[in-house]
Amino acid sequence: MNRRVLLVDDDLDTRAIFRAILEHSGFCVLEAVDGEEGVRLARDENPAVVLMDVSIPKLDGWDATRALKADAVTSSIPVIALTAHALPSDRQKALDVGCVAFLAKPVEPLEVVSEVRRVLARE
Amino acid sequence: VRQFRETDEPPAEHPPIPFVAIAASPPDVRAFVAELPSSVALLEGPEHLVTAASSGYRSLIGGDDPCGRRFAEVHPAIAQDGVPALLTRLYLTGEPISGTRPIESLGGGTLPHRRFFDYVYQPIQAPGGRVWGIIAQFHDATDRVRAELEREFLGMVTDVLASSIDYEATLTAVTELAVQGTADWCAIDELDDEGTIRRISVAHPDPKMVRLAHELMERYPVDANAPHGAARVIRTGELEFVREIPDELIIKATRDEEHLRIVRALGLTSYISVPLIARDRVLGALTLVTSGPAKRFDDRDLRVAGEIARRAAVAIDNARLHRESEQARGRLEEQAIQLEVQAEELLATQAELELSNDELQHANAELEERIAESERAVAVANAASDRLVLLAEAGALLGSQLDYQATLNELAQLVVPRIADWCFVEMVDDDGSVELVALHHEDPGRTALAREAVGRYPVDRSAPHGSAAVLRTGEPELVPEVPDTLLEAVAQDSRHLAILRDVGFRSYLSVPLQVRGRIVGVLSLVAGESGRRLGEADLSLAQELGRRAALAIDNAWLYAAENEARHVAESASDRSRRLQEIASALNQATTPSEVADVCVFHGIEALQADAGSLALLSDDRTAFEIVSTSGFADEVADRWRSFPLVPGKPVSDAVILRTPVILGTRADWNARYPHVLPDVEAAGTIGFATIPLVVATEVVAGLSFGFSGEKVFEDADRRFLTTLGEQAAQALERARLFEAESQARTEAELANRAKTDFLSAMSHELRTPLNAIAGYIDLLEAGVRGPLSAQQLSDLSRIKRAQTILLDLINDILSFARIEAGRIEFGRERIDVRELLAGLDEVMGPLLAAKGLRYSGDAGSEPLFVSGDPERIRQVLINLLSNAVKFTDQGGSIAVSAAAGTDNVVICVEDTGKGIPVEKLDSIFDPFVQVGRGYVSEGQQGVGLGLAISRELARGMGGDLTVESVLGEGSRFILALPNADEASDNE
Repeated sequence: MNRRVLLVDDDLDTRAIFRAILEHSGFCVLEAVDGEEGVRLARDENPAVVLMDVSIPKLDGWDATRALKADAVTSSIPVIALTAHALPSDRQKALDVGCVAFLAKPVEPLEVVSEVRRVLARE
Repeated sequence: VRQFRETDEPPAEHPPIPFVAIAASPPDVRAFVAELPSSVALLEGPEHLVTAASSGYRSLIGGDDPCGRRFAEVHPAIAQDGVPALLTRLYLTGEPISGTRPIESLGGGTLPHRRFFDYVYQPIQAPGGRVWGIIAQFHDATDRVRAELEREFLGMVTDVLASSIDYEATLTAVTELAVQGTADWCAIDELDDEGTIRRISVAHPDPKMVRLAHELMERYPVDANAPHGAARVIRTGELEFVREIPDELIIKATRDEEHLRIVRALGLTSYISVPLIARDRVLGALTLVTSGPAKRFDDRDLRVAGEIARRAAVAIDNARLHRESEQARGRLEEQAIQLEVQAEELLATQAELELSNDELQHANAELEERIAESERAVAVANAASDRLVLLAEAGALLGSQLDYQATLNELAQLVVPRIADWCFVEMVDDDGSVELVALHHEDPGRTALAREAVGRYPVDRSAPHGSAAVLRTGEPELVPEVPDTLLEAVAQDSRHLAILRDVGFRSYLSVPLQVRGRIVGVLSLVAGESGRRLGEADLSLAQELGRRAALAIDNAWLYAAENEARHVAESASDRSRRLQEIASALNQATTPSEVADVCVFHGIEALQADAGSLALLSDDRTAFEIVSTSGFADEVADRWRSFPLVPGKPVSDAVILRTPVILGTRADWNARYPHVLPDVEAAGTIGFATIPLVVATEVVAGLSFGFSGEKVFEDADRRFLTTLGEQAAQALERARLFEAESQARTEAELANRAKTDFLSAMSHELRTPLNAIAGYIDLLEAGVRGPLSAQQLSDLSRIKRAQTILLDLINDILSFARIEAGRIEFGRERIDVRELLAGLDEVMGPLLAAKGLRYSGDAGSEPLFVSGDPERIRQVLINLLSNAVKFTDQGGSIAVSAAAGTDNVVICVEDTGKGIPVEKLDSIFDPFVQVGRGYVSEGQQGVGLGLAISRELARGMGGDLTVESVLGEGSRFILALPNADEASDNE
């Protein structure tokens, strides 16, 4: 079973924490620091799920998600958005661009793990 | 006259003091007002409490200290006129209110009768335009108002008397005018040909009183020998003026007990009785009476009465002459008819006696003599009748017109050729020279010739004969036969003599025209080619005409003086109105440039100037910059847009010398600024005035006006300029302060926004690493890095708690910054208080249970609904409850209750905690204020912003948050919110 999780976030601490908890929970973690790298890795590595922070350089999380959904190779990979606020508008935007779920920061590491598990179970 | 008293015309002489309130706080204004010498009071608040009173105002109203009392209480009469409502309206309009009123309405008890004051109610505005008080100013306007009333009144009297020859009707009208203006009663009594006194007219504002007066007159006719009153005035020709009628006078003047009782009941206070005199004959008397306490005539009233009497006498005399001439003509015609009948009878007798020659001849001679005699009698009678007709016509003519030059010309036409071949009138000018004002001869050619002669040979004031002598002596001159030697003596050269001989001076007479004892001209009649000879009868007729002509001249002069006074008063009131307008326009102006525009625009209008400009002096006081200009040619305006301050130029000099520079004529320029005159000539703007605008003690600007051609600056212009300058300077200063203040405010707002943005950015920056800390703690706690000891876990939980506190604090700072910056929008919903409180139980339940606190929620028996944002209200209540939990020790209790307030709903959160010290009650809502180290134990930190945010949220929804507390017993936080049902009522 594919247990690769692509983590797209420009913040070093967030990547380190999420990588540790996800690996601890038996996932394999790929990291990207900006939107462009995220899209490239998704295409090359075919992860089971993408954790996409929305405020990232070069290509922001929303556009990167759109790019993934527009490409036949990556369109079926579920994307979980990581947003700065839990506003209804953020939720709506996440659905609009094609995300399957969204988590508002700050998010507890264990919550990330359970969300990833839930999404994969549904898939 | 009554209307005038009520009018709200602006006072002519006292433009309001424009109060500049921006820099002055209420205590400063109060102190300022109290120091003023004039009558000024400061009114504040909805009740218009007198909060300061000048010494002038205190003495004006007399009595107790007005301070602290309502204005309406100090002046009950004013209150009845609705003035408090006007004052209240002034708070909304900000427009000053002014006018004139009789002084009785001020309520001063000790002031004499018939005084007036001007009032101005001026709003005082705070910088934002909010009116916070009213300056009430009062000026004694008695002299001006009474002069205006008298002038107007005498004007009406003159008009009425000139309008009709039916003198009884016109005198009735005069008495009715008098009781509107000066007196309660007015009567005119006439001495008729039989020597009895007849009351022509009596007036009182109340018709019932007039009927009473007529009844009294019938029962008690005037006793011609009475020792007082009209009868004595008519007998002696001397006026009577009794300021205060003593009771003994009434006793003496009445006939019996009944009469005395009635007259006493009338309550007469004061009277004036003046004789009506025309042609040195007393025709009657005019009597004015006041009734009621404190209404006494004064010397002004006496003068007015004299003026009415003079005019009434002329009216009576004219009317009588007219009547007499009509009667005389009738009598003489009858006499002539009788003489003709007699002549016919005699002729018949002559025929009968034809036979007796001697007798016949004798009879014939006698008859012829009788016929001649009768013919002479008819001629004399006709001449006398002609004279009376002429006098009546002249009287009517002279009484009816106010352009005396035209009237005198018409008079000359009336006289020629009836009694003379020539008639001319000369008058003395103000400068003493003699001017021909009227001249008439039947032949226009000869009139022109005579005019030419007079023009070429001015009257020699030292001549022994003719008009010069009459002017000098005041005595009439009659020369029935003019000898050639007299012409030679009068002629100034041979050509003059030739003209005089050609005119044919055979016979002449000259009479003086005398106005109130002063000889102002000469009326001359000349007989020439008709061969007529002027005699004593012609002289007396001419004297009569002269008296009437003099009266006409006097009337015309008085009328002109009245017109002039009216004009001056009107232009003063016009100016004052303009100043009022300017003050109001200046109130609206908020920038120096707007102030300048108002001054230039209104100044040009009021002065009828052709151009104007306002030049501001630079801060270093070396140059001017023109901020507003109008009427100057573009190239002139451009050239002078800025110019240096140098002595020897009008605008600079006005500023340097701190005095207006006013240049009306080329001569004025030549005297002070000859070097500038060519420029001035080129621009065509000769008349020029600059006034310095002085703020505090510094000149800040020059306001200039230019006039096409030369300009006469009258006193009124100068006064207007000065006042405009004062108003402009104050408005300019106010505008500067206003600008400085709004700049400071903008800067403060910008600084505040920058602070908010900074805080907001800082919070974000702080939160990121804090979130990382939390994440790493979570990792460790989850055992990701391997198993931890109990001590390590305990340390981690302490790190976690510190991290939480710090994060909460940062979140609070961010919320507070957002609220302060107005970046939070509040929903507005109708919220059921019951549901709101029930929702709290859910959240708070575990917390309360954990600490072992008792809790009760009471939403009241009646359904309550508040208006607001449900999430924000919950946030506030949870904050209050969290605090209550934090600060209440185990075993205590917390209660939430709701109730309807007067126009809102209050929700109370009460605890039995440690309470808040009194000195902290005010400051606990301030950001970052902790109740005190001693009161806060571990676990109770992090409340620095909670209450500040809660109060801001409550206020943001139109409510408030307050606190009551007893130290050691507990606290009660009271959240007030708009009642949703009340709020919807208002919408």
